[in-house]
Amino acid sequence: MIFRTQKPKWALNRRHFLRGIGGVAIGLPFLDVMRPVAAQEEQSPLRIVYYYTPQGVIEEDWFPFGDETNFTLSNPLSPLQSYKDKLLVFKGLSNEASNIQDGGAHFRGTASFLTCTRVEQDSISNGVSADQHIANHLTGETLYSSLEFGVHSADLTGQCGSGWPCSYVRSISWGNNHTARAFLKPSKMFQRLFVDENVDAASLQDMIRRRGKILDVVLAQAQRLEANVGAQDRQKLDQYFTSISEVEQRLQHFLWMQCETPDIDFSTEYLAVLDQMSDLMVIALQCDYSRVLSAMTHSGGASHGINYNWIDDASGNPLQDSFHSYSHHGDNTQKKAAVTAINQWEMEVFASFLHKLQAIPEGNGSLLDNTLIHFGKEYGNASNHTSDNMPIVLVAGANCGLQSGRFIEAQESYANLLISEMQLMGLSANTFGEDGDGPLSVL
Amino acid sequence: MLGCFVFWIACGTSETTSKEEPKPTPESIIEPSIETTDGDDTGVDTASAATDCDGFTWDSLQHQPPTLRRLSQFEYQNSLHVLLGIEQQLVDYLIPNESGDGYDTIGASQSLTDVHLEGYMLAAQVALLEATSWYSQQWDAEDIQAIGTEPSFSNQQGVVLTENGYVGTKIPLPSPGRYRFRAEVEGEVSPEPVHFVFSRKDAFTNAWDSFARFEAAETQQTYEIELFMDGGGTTFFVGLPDDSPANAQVRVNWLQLEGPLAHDTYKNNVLICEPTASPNPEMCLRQIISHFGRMAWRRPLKPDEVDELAALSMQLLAEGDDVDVVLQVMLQSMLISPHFIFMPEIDHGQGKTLDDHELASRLSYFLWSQPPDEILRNFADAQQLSQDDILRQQVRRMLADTRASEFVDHFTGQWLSLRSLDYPVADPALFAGFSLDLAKQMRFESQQFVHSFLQENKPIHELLTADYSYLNTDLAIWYGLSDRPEDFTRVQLGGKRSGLLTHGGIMSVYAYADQSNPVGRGKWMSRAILCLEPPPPPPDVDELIVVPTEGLSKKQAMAAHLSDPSCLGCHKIMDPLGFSLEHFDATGRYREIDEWGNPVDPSGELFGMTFTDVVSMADLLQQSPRFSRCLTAHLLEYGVGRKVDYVDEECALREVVDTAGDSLPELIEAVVMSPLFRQRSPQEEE
Repeated sequence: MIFRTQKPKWALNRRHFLRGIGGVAIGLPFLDVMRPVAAQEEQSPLRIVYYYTPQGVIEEDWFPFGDETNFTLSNPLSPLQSYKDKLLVFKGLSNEASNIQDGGAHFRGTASFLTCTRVEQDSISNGVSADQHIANHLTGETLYSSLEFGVHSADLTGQCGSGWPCSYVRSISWGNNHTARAFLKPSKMFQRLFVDENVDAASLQDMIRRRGKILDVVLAQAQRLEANVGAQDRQKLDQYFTSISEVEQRLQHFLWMQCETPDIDFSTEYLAVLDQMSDLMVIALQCDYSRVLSAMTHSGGASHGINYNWIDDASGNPLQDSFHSYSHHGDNTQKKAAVTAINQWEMEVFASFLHKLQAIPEGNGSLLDNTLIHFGKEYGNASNHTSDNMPIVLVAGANCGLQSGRFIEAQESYANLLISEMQLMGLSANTFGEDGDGPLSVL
Repeated sequence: MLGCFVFWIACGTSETTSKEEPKPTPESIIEPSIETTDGDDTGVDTASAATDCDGFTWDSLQHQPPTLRRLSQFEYQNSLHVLLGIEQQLVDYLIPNESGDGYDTIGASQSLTDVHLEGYMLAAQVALLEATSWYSQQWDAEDIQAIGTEPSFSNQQGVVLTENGYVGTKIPLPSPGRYRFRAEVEGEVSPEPVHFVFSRKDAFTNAWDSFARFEAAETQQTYEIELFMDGGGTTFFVGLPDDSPANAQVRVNWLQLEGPLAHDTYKNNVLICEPTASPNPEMCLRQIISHFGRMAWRRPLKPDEVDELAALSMQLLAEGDDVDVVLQVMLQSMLISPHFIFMPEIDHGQGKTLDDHELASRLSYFLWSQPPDEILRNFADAQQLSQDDILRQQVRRMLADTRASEFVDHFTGQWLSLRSLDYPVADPALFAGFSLDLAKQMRFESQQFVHSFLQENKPIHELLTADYSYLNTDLAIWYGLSDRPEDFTRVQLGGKRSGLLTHGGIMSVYAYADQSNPVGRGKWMSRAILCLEPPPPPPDVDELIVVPTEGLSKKQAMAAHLSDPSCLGCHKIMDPLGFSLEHFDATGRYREIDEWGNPVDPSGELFGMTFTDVVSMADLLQQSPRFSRCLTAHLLEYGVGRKVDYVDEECALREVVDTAGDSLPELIEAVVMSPLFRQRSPQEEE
């Protein structure tokens, strides 16, 4: 049974895809199939999406005006106007783990965005992020516990700066074993999720059987190896064990997954990549590949090679510098306007993701109704790189059970918002990160 | 705020220092100091005296041993290319390693998730498919619809090509692999030689590629060439090149494409016996496991390891799988095994010293980015590689080998950040003619330059001071030179440029989209050439973009901002380094006037000595013992896969440099010979 409510509108480029996988039909990691869960279950499952876009805002320009229920969206938030009744816009939340005044603001800001854990330069270590806690809780419900979407799959190497590990700015999601999740650009995510459909059930079963054997053998090899290495190395092997078991568990799901391979044109231009990313995120949710997604529209830190020249400034001239350069505005009016213009564009991109979710019918409503989306940036004040007064917007689908259409001013710990979300997704967490001590009181 | 190559204004609270510098002499050059704002570990000597290394012994050295590292995506790809004899790109299936502080070999910075593992599984599978796909299907042009300027081969006389003529056919290639292109061609009688080309057109990019050129004989002859092709559609043409004489003619009687062809490498490395034909498949599979395992896992397999893999095979056979399928499954398991994707260095009872196989592995991935070859394997098996004379001889052999280009490519790609040239940032509106292609040529220039040091045993100081480079016509034009060689040959530069420091690639990487970035360049030079790690600016400091200021040069504008003495600590080192390169714009072109319309002033002061331009600045740099030690530190970080702390390990670095000759190959040799390379940790563990 194929679960497909509408033919996707993505441009067809089948040949490109076939070429990309070398014409291999069998034995690629995952099949273009999906389980018709959402269609069969009486109530559609709830999904959660963490949507991160790096760096800060001009606070006076960004936050809404008005009170909790009677408020006006600012210019940068105006692309969300049609979703206003679904919004919870927060003002005043702070992430203490990021507010460390001894350097590494970008690394700490991005790395702690979903972990609320203070990271250090010397050794890579971070807490488990909220999305990964939720993913662990939902393990087994879907093919992938979580999926992480990015724009460059760490293609840009080096230059992460001053000896801080790149992982801190490349990943907002951190799993067990202090492991940064790999944020895949759309073309790679596509490779991961879909293969050619010409695989019959018998050969599929054979493939699963053989792959299981392979994994058993290499797992045994790693276990013996572990006995001979020191503590640091053991941690690396633990990552290997975990990966093996995750891939192994997934094998069992192959046979009952069914979803058509979409056709997407993978051009490499940044704006196109962002569009591909939201397309694939929608497919992943629609096909119930996973109920926990996180997305980064860019890595944290300085913006490599992106000069925002598709955005015009107030006088109609295209911007021409990195977000980061503009963000250190020194109260220069033009630069502040540039930051706000970029913030508004970010929100347009985000809104286009919401449009796509809303366009997919599910149950009696839309996919958006069954999704909670957490949009956020790690800094409030763009210039200071400080993580108090963070710009956070929840878009709460109708079935999320949240009272929405609100602008909430609260001087609270941002970690508590993550606790609230984890509880909403079924966890019983009551503490989180450095300073999370319970669900957000104002919800 | 770290990690951003930007101008900083430091406005810290610390005391200001205007300590009198001791009068510098060439001998005391050059132990630079950075005054820190708060006594943070800056990675820099705070004293200007040379570090006292009198009591240094290797046993006294302490550092963190390297953490178990994985093969980088390039190393994994190269390994499969070498082991299986395949040629297709695999890096796209793999997740790139995180590059800890610039080097993606650093184990401590790597993480491994299910996504990575899936990538390895996929890459191994795709590679094995290529290695085992040979059926030598043959396509004759008569069988398929011909295209070109001439209609078809239906005419038994063949097809006569005249000016710009071509004839070819579309062929669906079943899989990536090696293909043989053949054509029978007859030259027409002509006073001058007539050439023809084999070309193909990529079905996806529509790009033409003339991959072979022949002179047509007057009698009919068969011409052929073998070439790796990605799978998918291709169009194969025979045609007359653009530079043909006006009356050129050739007759093409037929053309043919055959493949994918069998790989000798796969036959030699895997199929030492034929398991399908063997009366005892288990014995044959065992032989293959031992034989291939020794190459892939870079050491002989232990009997229980062979048993385990053989048991896997027998199990699959018992479940009804064909022998060839079983072989593929077993090979795939070996290529995702922790013994393959990691580089385990464990205690075999010999203490801190690497065993011969571990040493071979480290050495081979350091200099070739691939597993050891048969010669290294044999020395390792005989436990002779660790003998000094043999190890030295092997390093020399490896550096002289063409495979050393892997070292050049990956080390320079990371040390000099040349990988970033895949993503050039210069604004095309401001720098007309600058393109991705030009950026790639710049990367190649730097690679060729560094490679020449290996080939010609050149002294390392020339890395900084050479008044020559390796250019092609495009780059020579870009650099404004009248000498315009064709194919990356050596060219004198005329005294305005200085070694790597002024290479177009580096100038472009360390620049903004619209202008040069003196502080960024200076910071790069501090870190890459001197191992001076500027501390982060104080937390309350904002990043400063210097904007054009009426009546001030860029340098003056920066200087005005640096009136705060606490900024001077770092900027007095970084800024003069960076401003010495101001003659070079954001794409590496020479100029006299900067973006603000001011004449460039490259002069400055470094380590208490003055220089007038980049050439005299480079001369100061190369005189500093810090340069050779810093280069040693970078080589070690890349080769061993751990971060090197310059301050803590300076005496060891000095020891290495002191035992080395002046040339780059000698320095690399000294690095390999040192305990820093040959031991897991120079001290007993725990």
